[in-house]
Amino acid sequence: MIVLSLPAVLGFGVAAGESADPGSTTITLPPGVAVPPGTYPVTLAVPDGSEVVATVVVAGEPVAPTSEQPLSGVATSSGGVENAGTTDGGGGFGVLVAILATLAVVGVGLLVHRLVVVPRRSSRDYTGAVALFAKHDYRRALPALTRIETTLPERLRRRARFYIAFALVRLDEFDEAEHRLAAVHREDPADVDVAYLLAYVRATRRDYDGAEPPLAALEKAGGLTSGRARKLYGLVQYHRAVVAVRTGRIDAAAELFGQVERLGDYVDRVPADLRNHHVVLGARALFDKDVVGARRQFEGLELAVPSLPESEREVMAALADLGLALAAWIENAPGGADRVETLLVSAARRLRPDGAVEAEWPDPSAEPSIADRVGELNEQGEAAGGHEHDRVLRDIHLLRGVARLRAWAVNPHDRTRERLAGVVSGFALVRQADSDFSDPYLVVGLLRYHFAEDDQERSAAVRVLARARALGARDPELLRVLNQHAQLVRASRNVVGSYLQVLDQFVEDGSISEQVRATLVGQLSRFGKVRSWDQRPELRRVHVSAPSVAEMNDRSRLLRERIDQLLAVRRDDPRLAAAGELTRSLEDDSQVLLDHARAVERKEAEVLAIVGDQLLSENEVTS
Amino acid sequence: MTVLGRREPVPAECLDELPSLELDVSADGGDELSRVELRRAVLSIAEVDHIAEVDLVSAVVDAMADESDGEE
Repeated sequence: MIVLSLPAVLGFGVAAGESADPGSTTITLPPGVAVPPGTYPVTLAVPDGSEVVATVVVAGEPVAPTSEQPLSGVATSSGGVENAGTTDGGGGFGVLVAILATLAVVGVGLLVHRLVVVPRRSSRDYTGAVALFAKHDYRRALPALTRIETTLPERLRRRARFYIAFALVRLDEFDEAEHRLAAVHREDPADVDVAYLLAYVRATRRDYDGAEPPLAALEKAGGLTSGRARKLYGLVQYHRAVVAVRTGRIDAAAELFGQVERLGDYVDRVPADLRNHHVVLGARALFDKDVVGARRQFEGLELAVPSLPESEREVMAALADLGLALAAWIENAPGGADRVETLLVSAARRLRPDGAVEAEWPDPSAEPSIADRVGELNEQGEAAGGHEHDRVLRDIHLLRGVARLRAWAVNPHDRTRERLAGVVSGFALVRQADSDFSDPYLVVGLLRYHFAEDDQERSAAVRVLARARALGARDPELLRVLNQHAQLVRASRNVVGSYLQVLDQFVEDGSISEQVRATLVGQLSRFGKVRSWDQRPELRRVHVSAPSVAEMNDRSRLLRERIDQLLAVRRDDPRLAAAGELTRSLEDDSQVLLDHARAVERKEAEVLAIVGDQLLSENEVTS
Repeated sequence: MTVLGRREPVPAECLDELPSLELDVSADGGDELSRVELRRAVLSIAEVDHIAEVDLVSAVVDAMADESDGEE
């Protein structure tokens, strides 16, 4: 057997970039087959589908090989020839040289094909496939890239693997995408794009524990400079922290939330109380209405405060007060309101030593302007942790106000205005802490509406309620009050219009003395809707005539009816009670006037009768 | 994706195209999270909301009305 050893050729069919297999190519003739001297065309089929055509020249006399020893030859890498079997010693050397030369040509051809033709064709296909990404045509891009993936140069192949995985993600083929990404990530953990995409796929599938390692590798490789990666890492760690809380691993949760804070995107959603077991367990007990358990935790926190870092002591002491106040609130024992108030005030003072614990509800005209709000926000931004404290202070003062309200409902004895002022004061502090919080407006508006002593107070209360609604409050009682007030306003507008019509008719009535009409106009012209006598020249042109009693009665009756209609919508207004009395008096006077007129008529008739009897009887006698 | 002419899109541009994931912990026990946040759960623990507040105002108004009726 003759073996031809051609290292350059032997790399054939191996992916670019990989080392060639140092094997050999053997050309073996079947037993009993002799190769006559001559020239033979040879066609080699290449795995990528192409073919290489060459020529083999066999020199000398043909030799019939035995069945056990097929004709073959070996060409060494050094170009030497070994006689490995029975050969024709006469022409063998020449044959081998010819074969070597031929195969060398074939090798060079294959090498050129492998290093030039195939990469050039693959690169062209790669460019075409990647161009499909620009059109979001992942369905066509995916098979195109997959087909050429192994034929690409190293740099392009790695890039192609990313694109293949990305296309799979866009086509919702998450299993395959994750499998491929995991393999590429294992090969090169420092590839930040692959690490991100792998983490993204796993986070999308809610596998947050699986998403963490590639993100950690990404951070190690310096890939967190991207806001996108940082945010994903924060999201993943946040989810892991929540699961840790749920499973009772408070320490692990605290560490994970610490990482979330460090990453920076979800800081405002990190629970601030997770670093203290007393607070965590006490809060759970409060939610479970376990007053005894809650007290035990918050009293334990009180005892632990001196051993805490100085920077945490006041806040933790405030939380202890707050927890104990909530326990007292839930317990709702007789006389417990004072205890709740004392603890809540203590908590508020610890959180903000210079903060007020009582305040006046501002005049409606003192509502903050946009400029004031911007200023407030700037101040809050400048005060580190101020926002967090504002929120808890707001809730503390709201609870104080509600506690006062609850105590008032249980003990509603006298001092209404004083009690009202006390409750409103608590809610004024809530408003100070958060002027966009609807609750204080709702409570104060309703209280002031129900305890209003006149229309002015009632209108002011309605303005406060309107603010609550503008801030999102939609409670049915709030809407009922606002609707009722709106109806009153509309009715009041109609009443004024009707009244002005009655007034005009009266002052234009020539049967009423001018002095009476001028005095009335003079009295009402201080209101904008009533023009003065001088501004109404038409009144001077009114034809004055003495009224009959019937006219006076008709006019009076009509006036009374219209005034009664006007007063109907303000029936409960005490300031209009006098008008009602006068209306009834006017009716009586009109009746008296009518009675007197009837009496006058009767007397006139009697006089006529007496005089007529006398005169007419005398006339008849004389005539 | 930002692709200029026939320029090959870089991976970062592809990644920018992915929809960002939103933080939603409801499926992971987000409710449990609020139960450990004392300073953010004051009103939840006290069960104070608009309904409770309006009920208390009504209770005060009714109590004051009863008080006035009693005095009369």
